[in-house]
Amino acid sequence: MMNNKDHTEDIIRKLVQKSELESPSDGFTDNIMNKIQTESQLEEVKPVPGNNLWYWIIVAIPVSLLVGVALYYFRLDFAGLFNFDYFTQTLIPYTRDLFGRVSDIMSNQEFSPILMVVLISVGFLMIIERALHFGKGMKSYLFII
Amino acid sequence: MEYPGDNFYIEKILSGDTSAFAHLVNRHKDMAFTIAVRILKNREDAEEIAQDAFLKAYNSLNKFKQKSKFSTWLYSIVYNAAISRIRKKQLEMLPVDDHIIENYTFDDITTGINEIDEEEQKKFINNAIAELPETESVLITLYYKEENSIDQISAIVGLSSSNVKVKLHRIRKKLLTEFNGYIKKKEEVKSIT
Repeated sequence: MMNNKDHTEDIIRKLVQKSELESPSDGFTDNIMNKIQTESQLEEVKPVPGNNLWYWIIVAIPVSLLVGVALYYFRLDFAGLFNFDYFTQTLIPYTRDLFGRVSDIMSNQEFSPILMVVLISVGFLMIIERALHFGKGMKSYLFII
Repeated sequence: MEYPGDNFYIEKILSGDTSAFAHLVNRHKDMAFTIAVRILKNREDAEEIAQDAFLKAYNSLNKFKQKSKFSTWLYSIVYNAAISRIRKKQLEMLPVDDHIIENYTFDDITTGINEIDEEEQKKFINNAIAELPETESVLITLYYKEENSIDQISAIVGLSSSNVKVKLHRIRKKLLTEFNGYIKKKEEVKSIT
């Protein structure tokens, strides 16, 4: 014997199964497939480098700038780069000197604590945003630039 | 003949056969469109939303992990798009009638069903579902028509399983009360004539 719950379930199931699904217009599938085709053609025409390439381009710019500055600042020549004495006698003292100067500059500056918090927060949020949307992010980042 | 499952077509699409997506569209377009119509109560808007949802699904297919059914994933895209369209339009949501008077017996209803022909029952239930508030009409369709499980429905509409169960219970009662009212009205008309 069916209880009230089962009875209700049974009646409603039978009734609802008689209901009809709505159908979209005849050209529904064709419209979607046309849009997909148009989109894929556009992608073929506009060669966008893969995310990895963009990533390396973005990384390469500051790295090459740093190398350039370092070469200029230390007046290095490429032959000197492979000279061990050059590293120990010139490069390391210069590097220490560079860090010393940066540290002096920073210690003489008075930053507002609010400004520091804002800068750190913005940097932190940017890192999170990049990490979450790495795929799309690199493209949109370049687009903004 | 057994038709290939959705995953078969998904693999084909991911390996570059774009046209395979048409099979998925044809298979799921009616349910996707029905969900959109039930929420938006407007066929033109619903068609636009359903099309956008299919395109979105196509573009994100590489992110679809195949942990759930493709249909569950697709319907959740349609549902969310339709709900946000409604919010954007700031349409007035229909108040949910929580006060349901149960003044029927199952014998009355069972007798009533037998006296109403198939076509009329179909008409009644189509109208009754269309008049339910957006989410309720989607829930009842997904559960009884598409035979989705409570967990699948929960994933589609973003409600907890227990919430889905409670809502389904309320919808059942509401439809049954309406059906009883319909039967009684018919009996009255019959007795007058």
